[in-house]
Amino acid sequence: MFLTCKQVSNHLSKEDYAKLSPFRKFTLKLHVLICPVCGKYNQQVMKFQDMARTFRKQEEDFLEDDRPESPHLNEDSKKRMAELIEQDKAS
Amino acid sequence: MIYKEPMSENEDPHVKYETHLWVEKYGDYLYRFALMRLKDPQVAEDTVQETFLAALKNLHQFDGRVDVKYWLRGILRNKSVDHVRKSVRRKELQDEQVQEVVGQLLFKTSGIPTTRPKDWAFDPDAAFAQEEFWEAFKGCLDALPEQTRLAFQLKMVDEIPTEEICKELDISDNYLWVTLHRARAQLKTCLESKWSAA
Ligand SMILES: [Zn+2]
Repeated sequence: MFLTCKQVSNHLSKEDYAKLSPFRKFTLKLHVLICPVCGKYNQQVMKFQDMARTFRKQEEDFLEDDRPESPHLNEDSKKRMAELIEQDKAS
Repeated sequence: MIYKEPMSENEDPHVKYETHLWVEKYGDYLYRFALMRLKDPQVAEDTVQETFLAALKNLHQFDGRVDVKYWLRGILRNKSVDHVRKSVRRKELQDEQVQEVVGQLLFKTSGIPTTRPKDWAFDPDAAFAQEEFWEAFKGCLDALPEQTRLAFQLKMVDEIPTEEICKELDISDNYLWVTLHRARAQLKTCLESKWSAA
């Protein structure tokens, strides 16, 4: 149940924190919260891993956002690409 | 998961995977992804085109187990990595700098960092709910040097395994680790200036 500082930093330096089991995450969080030695540094590392995880969802929303004001390929480029695909099909 | 029958000998993959609809269906989506990774609109557009052509070339290998969209996105991600690897001829960090940071943090040996960071009174749960925060975050991400940004995106956003990233970017795992450490430090500084609650 109790992790050493070394185990904590091993998990965090592999950046795999977000993928750990809920129990492992909990023990990790607890250690980082109370440990005077590695706590502060690793709290920040964990904040970034949470942030990146959430950002991933944000990115997906941005990619799917098809409103006129979001970025689009221009029509000429689309036409050119469609023609290239057509050519490939013919060959 | 939807199981799809393996393609029969005679079936044309162009027909099966509706390649004539690709640009209309996935063009903008891929373009936005390319913009996130490469920033420059022209480079992004060229990379999307390269992606379509590479996908056609490898269409016979596509097994239909993932959606065409995500398969194309995977190809596009590899193309973006190639682009950054070619454009960043020199590594952004020198080997001595890597050694220095590794030495400072002593992660590998004892797990105890020798440098203590200042408190960061940033509350992720409160910040994440706000759209402005993500605008600031994206702005800060864009401001990172290209290789640093890509390493952060691959590792932290795409969650690609370390070994794969190191191979693709042709760097050591210490180098990647220090790059991520720097990315965090730079993002933190940037967020503190751009977003007052951080
Ligand atoms: Zn500790």
